[in-house]
Amino acid sequence: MRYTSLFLTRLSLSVLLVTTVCICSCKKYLSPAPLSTIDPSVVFSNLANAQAAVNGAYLAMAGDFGYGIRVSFYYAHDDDIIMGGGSGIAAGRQEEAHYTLTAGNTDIGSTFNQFYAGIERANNCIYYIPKMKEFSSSNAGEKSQAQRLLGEALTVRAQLFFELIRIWGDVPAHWVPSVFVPDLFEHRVSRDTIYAHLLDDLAYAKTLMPWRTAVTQDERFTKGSAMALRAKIALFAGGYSLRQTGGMQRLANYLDYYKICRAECDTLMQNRAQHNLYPSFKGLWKDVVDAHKAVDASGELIMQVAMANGTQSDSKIGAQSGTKINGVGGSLGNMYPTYFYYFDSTDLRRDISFVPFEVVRDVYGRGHASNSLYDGKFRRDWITNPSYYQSSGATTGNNPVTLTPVSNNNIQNFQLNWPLIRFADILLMYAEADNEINGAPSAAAIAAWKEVSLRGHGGNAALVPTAPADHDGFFKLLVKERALEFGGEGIRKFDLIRWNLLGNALSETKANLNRMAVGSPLQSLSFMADLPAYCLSDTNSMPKFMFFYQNGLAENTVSNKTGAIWANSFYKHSPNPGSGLKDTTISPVNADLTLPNTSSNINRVAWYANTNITTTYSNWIGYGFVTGKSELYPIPQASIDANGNLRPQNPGY
Amino acid sequence: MILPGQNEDTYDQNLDVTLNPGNSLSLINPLQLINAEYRLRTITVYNFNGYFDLGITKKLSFRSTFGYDVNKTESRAYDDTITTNSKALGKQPVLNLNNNDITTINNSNVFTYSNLFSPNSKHSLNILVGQEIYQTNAKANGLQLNYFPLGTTPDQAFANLGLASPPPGISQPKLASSEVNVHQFSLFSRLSYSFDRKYLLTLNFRADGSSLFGPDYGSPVGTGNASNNKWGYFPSASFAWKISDEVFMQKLSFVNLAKLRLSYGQAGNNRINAYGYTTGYSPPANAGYGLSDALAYTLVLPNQLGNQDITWESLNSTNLGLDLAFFRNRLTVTADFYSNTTKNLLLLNKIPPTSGYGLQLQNVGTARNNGVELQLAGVVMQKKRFYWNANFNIAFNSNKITSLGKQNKFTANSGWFSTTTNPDDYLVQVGQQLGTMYGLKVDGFYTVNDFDATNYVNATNNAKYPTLLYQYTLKKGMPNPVAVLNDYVAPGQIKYRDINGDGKITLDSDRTVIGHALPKFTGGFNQQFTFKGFDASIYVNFSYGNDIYNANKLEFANQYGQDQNMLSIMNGRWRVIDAAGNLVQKQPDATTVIGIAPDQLSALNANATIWQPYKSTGGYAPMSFAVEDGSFIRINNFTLGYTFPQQWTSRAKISSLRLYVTVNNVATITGYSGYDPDVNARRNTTLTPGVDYAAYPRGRTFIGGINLSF
Repeated sequence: MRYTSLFLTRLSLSVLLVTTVCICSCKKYLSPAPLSTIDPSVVFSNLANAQAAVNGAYLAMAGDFGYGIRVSFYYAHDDDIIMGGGSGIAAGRQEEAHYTLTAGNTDIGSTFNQFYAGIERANNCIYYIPKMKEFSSSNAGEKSQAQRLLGEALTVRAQLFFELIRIWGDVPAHWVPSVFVPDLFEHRVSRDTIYAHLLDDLAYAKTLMPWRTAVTQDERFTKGSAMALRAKIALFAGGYSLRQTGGMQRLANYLDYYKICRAECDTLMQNRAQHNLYPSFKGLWKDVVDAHKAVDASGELIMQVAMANGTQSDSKIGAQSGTKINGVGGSLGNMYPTYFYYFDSTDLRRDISFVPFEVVRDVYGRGHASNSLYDGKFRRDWITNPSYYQSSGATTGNNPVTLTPVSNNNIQNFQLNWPLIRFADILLMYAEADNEINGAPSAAAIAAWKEVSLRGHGGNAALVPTAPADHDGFFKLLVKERALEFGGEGIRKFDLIRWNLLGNALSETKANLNRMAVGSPLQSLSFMADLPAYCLSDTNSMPKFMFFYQNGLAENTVSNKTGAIWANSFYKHSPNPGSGLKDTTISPVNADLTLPNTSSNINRVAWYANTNITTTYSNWIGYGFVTGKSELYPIPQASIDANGNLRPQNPGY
Repeated sequence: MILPGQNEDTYDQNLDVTLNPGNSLSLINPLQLINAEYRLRTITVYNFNGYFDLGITKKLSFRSTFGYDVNKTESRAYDDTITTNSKALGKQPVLNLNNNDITTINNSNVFTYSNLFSPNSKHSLNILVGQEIYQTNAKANGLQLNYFPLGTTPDQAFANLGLASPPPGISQPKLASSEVNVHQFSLFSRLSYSFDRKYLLTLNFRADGSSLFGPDYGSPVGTGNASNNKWGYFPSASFAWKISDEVFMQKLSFVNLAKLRLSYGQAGNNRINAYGYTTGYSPPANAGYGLSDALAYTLVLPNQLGNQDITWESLNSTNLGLDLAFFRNRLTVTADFYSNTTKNLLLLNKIPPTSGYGLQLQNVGTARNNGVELQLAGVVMQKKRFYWNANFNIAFNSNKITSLGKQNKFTANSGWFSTTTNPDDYLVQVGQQLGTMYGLKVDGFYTVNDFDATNYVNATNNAKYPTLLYQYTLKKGMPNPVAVLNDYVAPGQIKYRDINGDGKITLDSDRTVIGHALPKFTGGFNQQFTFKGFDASIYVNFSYGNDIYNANKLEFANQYGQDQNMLSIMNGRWRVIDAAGNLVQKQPDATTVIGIAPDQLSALNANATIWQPYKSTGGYAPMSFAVEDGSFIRINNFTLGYTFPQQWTSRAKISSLRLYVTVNNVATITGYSGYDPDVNARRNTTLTPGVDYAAYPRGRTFIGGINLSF
């Protein structure tokens, strides 16, 4: 066949076309660069990105399903201080608080998943950061930054596992990124093994991190955080918990763990320049935490979760908890009136932790009956920088809650940081550990406890009670002191569990509430130091009604009084009707607060012998609590569906 | 929010402020809501296509085709003050602006050799060889702005984004953007040979390389020793025999066509999202760790763990077909018998969340589809002015999962209840069909006869409830549902069946198969008529044996949303309050249920048809109550047209003029209680078909038109 030149041209043209196109068939064409996702090895190639990856691990602690509201507030109740969730058992948060939840509860599933996602992020950081060139660099600045990042990742991972164990008991654990785990269908690992691993991790982490004062001050973890967390984990590792075999048990060698705790606390207590008690208890809340300050001058906030305005970065503390301001919001997390009487009348912490009133017309207090009481550390009228003006707009009636139109009454997030460990906790943990180890409190233990109680009493040593010298007495004193110091901070329930006292606490609190409801005198709780004597008086000495002023300022300006709103004492019989108790805040001074002697008296609230205590509180507190079951939550059903190796479910579910 | 005509006092501030209406389900009047939500989507599409064809010799030609398509979508959304989005952000309007641009480029180059033998020969051969590339580039960016001033209209807001002013201390959400590139390169060839036009043979071979599979050869970190999973190889062959052309068939004059077809082939599927082979960090959408009250630069891992071993899914299909035509093509019969096996099914599989991730793309398992499809078509009547032809088809398919890799079964979640932490409702198990629904079996509700009634003596409660003097405890032997119910078990409560007989109802051991989404058979029939100038057609389709998981029933037969309306079936519920408003049954504490005398309680509830509604989210667990038979017959389409007579239209130089009217979705006959039995509302995963949750009902369309040709 002859090949015409035209044919050849055409053939070569087409072959050329095809080969040019085929050149693109090399592997590169089939590998377009991923632009919107970044490979881990690339992320850990410089410090800024590595820091961002560690921030990702921190982020798993924040948000609605983390310490934003659920872990800090929903799962941390009921105990003997706060009834969580409100009256009822239908909503998720009510199930969680009143111990009626089942494995199908959706909140716990989201928390479980979020914490494991955080652990994976931390595992990636822990794996890759030591491989960074900055980690072993000769440049001291870079090296310390990289090492600090590793320390932070180890501490975040420890905190997440610690919380998982506290809530769920034995959980799966792996210590390398999931891509290296051969079988993702893991079995549950004993909590003792995990705790031991965490204690080793934290011992290493504290050597990697600087002290608080050596670096820029913000919410990132420092050497003190790792030590404090190690102390706390050691105390829990040596405490009671509900075992898979059923029954609350603690390890036989629990004192070894208490020794670790005492050693860590001791080191922190030797370094007062780094961490110390903030001089004023009220100032800690009003001027630091609620004022959106990242850190306090004394370093009392050793470990906290930072929150800011963003999806899954924020907190609802202060929005869903606390009392009403101008008729708006909160009112989740009722404090029991029996908790009020834990405090003696000179204890400043009482009025900071406990709010028996709401704030109306911006500044005035309006008293609440004894079945409508709230926590006060995160109160909305103390929030500044920024503050949030809220109003329900309910301006009608002769006693309106506000004078201004509706404003911001649906804001859910206040960006308040959540404190995890404070220095006061260190002092009390030291005292407790020392007491256990020595079988009786040493002078150092008593001194440590005394610091906390002294601050609680405004620095007046004469008001501090005397500490018993025996083991049991001192232990009960500490049980009480921890309740007085940490009300509303999500600590109490887990303390009661590790002492194996939760069941008793709930039933005895319920009994005391019922006594208060019918007007019988309160009784001291069997597991705690006695209540102040004047709280146990005969019913004729407790006030049936509390009277408050129309225009009493909610923010008490006198430091050791209950506030400028109450006209009679919480510890004496209320004045008889017509006794002439005048309202000194209105002008001219005329109205007799005790009249009319009916429920329509707007200056009067029921206090003692208030039957509503039963319907609001005692009917719901620990509604579904079963000893040997409710000390742990069930493993979420969705996780068991995804991985059958998580069986068996926690006992009783 | 005050409706026109109401005054201030009708607005219940306490309802809005302290309670969340509907238990935070945020129920809002739908009419008001429609007016408050603004949505506008603008789509701009450009298509360019071109080709050039080069004849190299008489038998050899080359054709190159090129296409360039651009699809730009802009979505605008504006939520005014009463909407849920706005309420969560200070009751001020919220604006969302999203842009999605997809650019597609494709190019194919094909050589064709045709008719390689001489025209007189009995043989005929065609060969085709070619190469193709196909790539898409998808860019997306989105912005959300909150806190517009009250009273800003949507148009003002979009024209003036700077109006948004957050209160001090609050920052606007971060902007988001993404870009994804997908490339595919293919080589293909075909050979077709026919002998005497009676025997036909076609052979195909195709090789496809896709960037959706790994490893990433462009990565700066290198690929280690990861194997190249990008390529898939797909051969196929088919053979046809035109029996009717054989000499021995000429005697059967009524048989006009008889053709036997046989084929075997493999096809590939790579319809997954990009970058499934790697796990990469990305900045979280509008989030970051809040150091010093500002969102610090944060990188997080996604919810999907990468899998460097994923590769093409392949479908092996074997088909035997028979085409028959009789009576001068008046009756045609087509029958196909097929057996398809899908290997290396690409599934977004759930992995245990303790890994830190929820999902992973995996090539897991094989599924088999065997079936028969039958089609009959015929001209029923053919007269001078009347013509009627009918067409009937029916298909039977049997689906079975034959392997799931190392696992024997796992469960999948349709995700209708907003979070994926509601118990799983679909079962994927070797030996079962796809789309098997999995849940608790409902056995009606507890009646008084299931309980022992004893006298109840308790000082506090007797005083509070003086008429409720009997305590009801579940009889021995009745299974204990405490693990799935929130309230203590009481008369009138929903009753589940204890499948494994262990005396307790738990999600773990008492969930069972409650329905199958796939139908037993489907089909349709089509009738066409012409009479003088009129033409009409009716198309009917049917499906039998498909079950529907009606999640709407679960949501609206439940009282979790206080003050929320319920379905009318709940009118027959078990009463705990009698007609005079007196309480007759109560649960005063965690473990006690008290009520009036048993015979009175039974008498009051003698006509009860359904249980007391749930008051917790436990009512959303999957159960047989929600599964309904979705078999249906639907008159899908009816068309009537009239063509004007030729002699009239030709005068106006019009070659033909036809008017027609069409109705779509004329009528549906079904026993299903929802809007539409042909529903598939949760399509994110192929594992959960047949869910009806807030699916939009199908509208009936009336179309009128003109066909005009000159």
